[in-house]
Amino acid sequence: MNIVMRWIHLLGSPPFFYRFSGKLLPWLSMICLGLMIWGLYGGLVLAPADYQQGDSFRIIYVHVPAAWMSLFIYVAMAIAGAIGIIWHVKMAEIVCVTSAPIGAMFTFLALATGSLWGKPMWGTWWVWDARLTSELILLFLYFGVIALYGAIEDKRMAAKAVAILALVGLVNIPIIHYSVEWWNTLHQGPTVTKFEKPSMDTSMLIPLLIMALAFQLYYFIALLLRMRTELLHRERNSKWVKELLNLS
Amino acid sequence: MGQRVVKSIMTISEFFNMGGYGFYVWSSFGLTFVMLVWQIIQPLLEKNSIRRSIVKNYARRGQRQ
Repeated sequence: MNIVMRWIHLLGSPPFFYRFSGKLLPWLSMICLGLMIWGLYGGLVLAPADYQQGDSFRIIYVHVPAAWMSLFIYVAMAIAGAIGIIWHVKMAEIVCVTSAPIGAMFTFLALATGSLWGKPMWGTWWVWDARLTSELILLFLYFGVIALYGAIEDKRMAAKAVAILALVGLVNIPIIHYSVEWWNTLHQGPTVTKFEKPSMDTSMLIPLLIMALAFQLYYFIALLLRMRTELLHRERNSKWVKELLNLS
Repeated sequence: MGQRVVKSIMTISEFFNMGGYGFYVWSSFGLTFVMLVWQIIQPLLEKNSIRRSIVKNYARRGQRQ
């Protein structure tokens, strides 16, 4: 326990975090790339075509992990924001604000690949059903967070405002998740996250889970990159940044 | 032997065709690829420009003193 607390304390120090994340990034990137290649090979080559949807079902290997990440990142952003407000943890504030553009990208990807899947399967690019509409609202929430952070000059104040907005928007998350059960949607129901056995063959399911893991790791990598950039910007007048750039 | 070569060429074109859904499948994967790469490049470019501006500011302050 003591070691864990010591680590958390260390990671809260910008120079240590900057150096440590710099060492970690190449390894994480290699693992992530390997998982993606494995998942793509399994999904595009090894998995058989779906008996109803043919090869178009393969869009699932980017669509579903992107949609999962759009929800996961939102929750992570809101929790980090809450930690930032309650305990005044600077690093948590930075996690909150730097998660927003990554989450927005995954939300956009979920919507765009869903549209590309909907056209051949449903015969339309877009329909105002509960799942699609609530996911679109999620995209606007992310845009709201990004815009609000950019609009307030004092970045610590901005991070607080952003955290509150993120926490309020949290109500949308269960709505998105349960939308396919609460309302009669054109979007299909869950095939993986069910209490019974997933209604998907293992040869199709395993590549999906690998892609989901790869996307999770990707978020972590993209987050570290953005956090490093944000730290350098916020701490540009500090001693450790000058030392880092050999300016003293 | 010859037949097997023909068959493997067929499967490659079949692979890109995706049972007639090639446009939708490859657009999805292509778009995702482009966005994922951009999401990595963008903070790196930003970091470099911040680094440059810190160095420039420092040099300017140094001249004044």
